Amino acid sequence: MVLDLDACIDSLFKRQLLAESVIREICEKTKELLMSESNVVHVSAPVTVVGDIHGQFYDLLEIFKIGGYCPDTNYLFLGDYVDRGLYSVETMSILTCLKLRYPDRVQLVRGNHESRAVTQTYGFYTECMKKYGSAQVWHYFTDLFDYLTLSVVIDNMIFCVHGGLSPSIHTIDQIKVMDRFKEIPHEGPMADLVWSDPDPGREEFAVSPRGAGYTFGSLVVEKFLHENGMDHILRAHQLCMEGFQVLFDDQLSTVWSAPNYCYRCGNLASILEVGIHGERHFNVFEAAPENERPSPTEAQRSLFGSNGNGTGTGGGLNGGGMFAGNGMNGGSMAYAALAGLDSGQDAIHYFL
Amino acid sequence: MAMHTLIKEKGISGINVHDWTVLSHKTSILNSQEIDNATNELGIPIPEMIFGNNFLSIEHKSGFKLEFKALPALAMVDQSSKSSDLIKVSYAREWFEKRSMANQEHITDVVKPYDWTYSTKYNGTNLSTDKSLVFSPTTSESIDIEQLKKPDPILFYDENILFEDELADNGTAVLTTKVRVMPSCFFILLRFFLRVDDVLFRIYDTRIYHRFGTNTVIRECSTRESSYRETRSRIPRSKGGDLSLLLDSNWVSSQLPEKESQVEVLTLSQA
Ligand SMILES: [Mn+2]
Repeated sequence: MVLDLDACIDSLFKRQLLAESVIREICEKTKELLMSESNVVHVSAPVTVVGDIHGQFYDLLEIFKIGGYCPDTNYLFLGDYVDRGLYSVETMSILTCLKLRYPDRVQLVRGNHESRAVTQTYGFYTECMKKYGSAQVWHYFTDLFDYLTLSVVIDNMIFCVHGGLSPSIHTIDQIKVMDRFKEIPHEGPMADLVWSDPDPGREEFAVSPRGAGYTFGSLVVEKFLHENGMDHILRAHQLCMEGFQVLFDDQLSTVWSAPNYCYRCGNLASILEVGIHGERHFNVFEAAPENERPSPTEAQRSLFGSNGNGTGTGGGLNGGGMFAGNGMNGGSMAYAALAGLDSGQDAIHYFL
Repeated sequence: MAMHTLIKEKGISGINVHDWTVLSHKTSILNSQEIDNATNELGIPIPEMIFGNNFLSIEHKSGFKLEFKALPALAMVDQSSKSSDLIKVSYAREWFEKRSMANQEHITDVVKPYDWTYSTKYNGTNLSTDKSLVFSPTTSESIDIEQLKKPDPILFYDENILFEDELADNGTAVLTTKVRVMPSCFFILLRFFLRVDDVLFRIYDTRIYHRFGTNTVIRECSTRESSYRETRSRIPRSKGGDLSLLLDSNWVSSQLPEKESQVEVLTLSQA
């Protein structure tokens, strides 16, 4: 059967999942395509830059509504497509289809969540298991992650990356020769590009008290831009209430595109529209309207990172509690029956 | 059924019952101006998701008031020079070794030490007008768990997040409150939950209990901790590679041994 990408995109816009075999084929083809992409992809403005999405598919649909649909609008996505939100599968499916359909108009940069290790704890793995009943789809996508590019340069002026700068990288050429086709390592330049954060209170690099990872200061930014003849660094990776943040005398911007992050932060989001003369405009938006969002029950399930097996915020029934251990769903039902409660008022409320 | 009125305003929910008022306020994370102020005040980088304006409070007619808020909780995070030596992420040793091989050891500038896990034994802010209203240790009283297991109707229930940080995807540190008010009593759980991937789990719980008609408020604080490996090994075999149980603080809590606990009591003045 011939792969009909337009049909795939249509059905995803209608919130329908693709078949496992289709995802497999799409991932294979996209890997071939990405294999020939440089670690530093050069693009021209106008382009609309999108920060972290984290599985908030309904908000991604809102982004297309606000920013325009492909291929009318060129898009640069800065990574962290998955985890945390409830629709990582839909988000990855549509982004992969769009990349394959319009390779020169859609760029996908790798974020620190585009990793096997991270997605195993932060939601994507569990979501794949839940929606497809096996880990196959997770394998297809996480294998694809290894091929995503690390950075994009817009019109030789704006350097775009998920996290930030690295003490081992002084020039763009150093990024070009890196071997990126692997799981994100814990240390080294590839890790730094997806992990590091700016620190407006500093000038140089500093080591995080966690014992791994860097923050970078104003002089680092200035030196990097000067050395590479550029005038701006554009990155994502950090939540901010306003949806964007501009630092270091307008030399660095953070763009954040997941409104009401985790369905509870109440923050704004933005996409950054870069015009043909390099002008930057943050298009700020709120969470998708009520009827476009997951139901409160679904959102509730994600609250406190619960695994969506119905425990919700959990019963708090620990140790000597009546329903210790797992099987909380059954537990809460039993409790509701015991207590003569309707099923809405279950063990969640009877925490201990 | 106890006489009570529910409170529902923008961002605030709560209940008036007997001589008590319980309020829970939920709003968005702090904006960048508020974050700058809080950072300066606390002297440490604040958690990624900081609900600095959220609170849970309980107030008694006699002037007793206890509040739960994020910033006072963060003020108790260890900032001593030793604080960041306590726990390192799982790959810290490897990171430092490879770093010296890559000749990056000239970067000796370490961000001012603080306990980056945000571990806090905060157990509420006492805002009582009467300064004699304080909690003191007791061995004769404890929270009536049997009472709390009864399926009494719940007049008011709420949960609230004070702060949350993913520790740059090395785990989770989260401080939450839950409250339930029944006709005969109320019960609060303030929980600090920490997971450092491949390193450890830690839970600091504070439970507050009052039985209406009595003149005491009981506070029970406990510490639970265990290694990541030990806790992970307790995932039922049937769950296989699914690590999501490790995200569920209730499941983790049921698996962690208690290291310490303390009970305190506060006597309300005769109203
Ligand atoms: Mn990120």
